[in-house]
Amino acid sequence: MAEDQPFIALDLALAVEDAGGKVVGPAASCEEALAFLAAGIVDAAIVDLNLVDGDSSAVVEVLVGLDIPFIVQTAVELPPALAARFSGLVVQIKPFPAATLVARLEVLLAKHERPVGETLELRDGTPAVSTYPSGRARTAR
Amino acid sequence: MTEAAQIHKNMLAMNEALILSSLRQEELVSVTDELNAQLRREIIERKLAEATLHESEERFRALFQMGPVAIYSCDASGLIQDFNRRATELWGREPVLGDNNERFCGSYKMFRPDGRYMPHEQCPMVDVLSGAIPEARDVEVHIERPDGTRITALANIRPLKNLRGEITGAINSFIDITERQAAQETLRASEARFRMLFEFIDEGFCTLEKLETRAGAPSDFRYLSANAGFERQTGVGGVVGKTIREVFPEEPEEWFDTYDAVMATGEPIRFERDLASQGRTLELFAFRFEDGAALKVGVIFLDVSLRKYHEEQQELLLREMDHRVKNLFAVVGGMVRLSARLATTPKELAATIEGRLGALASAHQLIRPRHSAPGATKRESTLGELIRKVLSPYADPAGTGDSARTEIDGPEIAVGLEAATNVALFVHELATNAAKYGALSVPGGRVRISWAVAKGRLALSWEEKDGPVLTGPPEREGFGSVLARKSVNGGLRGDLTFHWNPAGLVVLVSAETERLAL
Repeated sequence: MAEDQPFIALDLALAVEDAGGKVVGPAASCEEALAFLAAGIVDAAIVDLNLVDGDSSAVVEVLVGLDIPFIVQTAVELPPALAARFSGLVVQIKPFPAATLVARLEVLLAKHERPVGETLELRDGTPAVSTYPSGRARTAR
Repeated sequence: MTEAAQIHKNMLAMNEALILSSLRQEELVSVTDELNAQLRREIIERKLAEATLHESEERFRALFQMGPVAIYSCDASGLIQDFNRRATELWGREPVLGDNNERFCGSYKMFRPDGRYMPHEQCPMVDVLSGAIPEARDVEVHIERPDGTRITALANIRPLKNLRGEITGAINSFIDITERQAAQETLRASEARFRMLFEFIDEGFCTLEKLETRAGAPSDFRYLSANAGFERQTGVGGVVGKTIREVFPEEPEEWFDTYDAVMATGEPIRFERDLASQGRTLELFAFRFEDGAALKVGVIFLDVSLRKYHEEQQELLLREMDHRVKNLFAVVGGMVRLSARLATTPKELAATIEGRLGALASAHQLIRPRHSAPGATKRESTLGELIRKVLSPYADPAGTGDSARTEIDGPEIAVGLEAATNVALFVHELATNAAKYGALSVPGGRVRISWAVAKGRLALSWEEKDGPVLTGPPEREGFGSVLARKSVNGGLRGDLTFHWNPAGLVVLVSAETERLAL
């Protein structure tokens, strides 16, 4: 988790733990976040666009490169530059209840186990098509 | 010769004479007849001529009397011989014909165009009659009427000459040009006003004529006039006589489409457009007008780049505000959920939230965020002021008059909003913990907060004294401690360490001073 605001970070971290996950971080800066990613211990991520040392585009880039599912959170829309470089980013606009975010992340993780394009079922039974672009092609076409 | 022969001869001679005389008589009669006929014809012709002359005289008379031009005539000595009705209208009086005291002109008084009085003896009629000038053409004279009113007249005087070429008199025809002059003066004044407006207004103003181009060829317009404001507002001068494409070759077709539309429909158009080549934004009003028989386009415009810049800044500010507000909601949401995890009763929850919100509010009350807009008013505060404010509920809650339970000591350091929020947070959490379990939970307990700056780093210490004796660190780190640590780690990029000394908790905070300014 990359988030510099203490209340939000703590709240989200606890929500993740409630859902049975373990939090790496929270990292308050891109520097910290990149260090965590380099250690190879991250399965999924929640990234705030604004961290103490600037905007987190670099972190986003690494996440895409490592094919780690993640959600970007921000108070305004994605900056056009970022949206142009990475299509299909999953974005959560603040404010939002922490539990909602965690649920979305769970869905993402579930989809990520499947190849792109295959229909899958969510926990509540509704079908959903995986639209998250894989950085690495997992299926042979 | 016999008498009879003689008488015969005489009789023959007499016969001859009689015949001759009767022949002459006949001749005489026919000649007389002819003469008579001629006379009769001459009389008829003369009568005809007289009638024609009479008719023409009548016509002349009518013209003279009824015509719109004032006419009068003088003899060689200047005595007025004739004048028409119009002349009496313009003079405002009727002169007495042949009056020696009223020579040269029937007017009451005359003045030169420059206003000087002109006696009758000096009027142009005198010069023409004397031969000093061959004629007077379009001479301006101001005539004053007996009732005091004045008119401006234009006189044309021609001499009348006899067969020997001597001047026998002169005719003056004059017209009233007062109204015409007044109209010209009004026009002149109005043009002068227009000129003044044209040159002195701030706005740029120019007039354009559409060039004749082949069908399908791109249209163009020529600058017919441009005021001083044109160059001020566009940064480009000397455009008169040139075409738009010559002066602004890189400007897009839109410009021509707009002016073409104005020309075609006659409907004025108000629009805002960038003059890309000059890096300015203009607000323009283009309209069509008639100049004689031709249709032209007038454009009046202003450089609104500065206004646009301000509008953009305002937009940015609003978005920034939007951003901050949404962030604040996210923070408060997190705070509420966090506080809810530990609170056992609603009252406790409310108190916890109120406390934390209060700390956040303190930061916002003291400090205004830095805005991207230049010249935005600043509200700043210092570290000491902030800590004092956040701790104020704990300083002397019972109002016991006891010397302050909190001691705050350190140099004045300016604090920005981001840093202030984090400082307010950790101070609040430490204070809350102290009030629940530490020095502030017993009367007589004190907290001393002091700080110093060295080599770009802030070193702050929170020392609790005279509180309950500590037996070591707590089993689990409470939320408060986590929050305190996170706020220092995060926004302040510093460290916060807890030292659970038996005499009282000591918390040491270290952070970069430049982070405090944010």
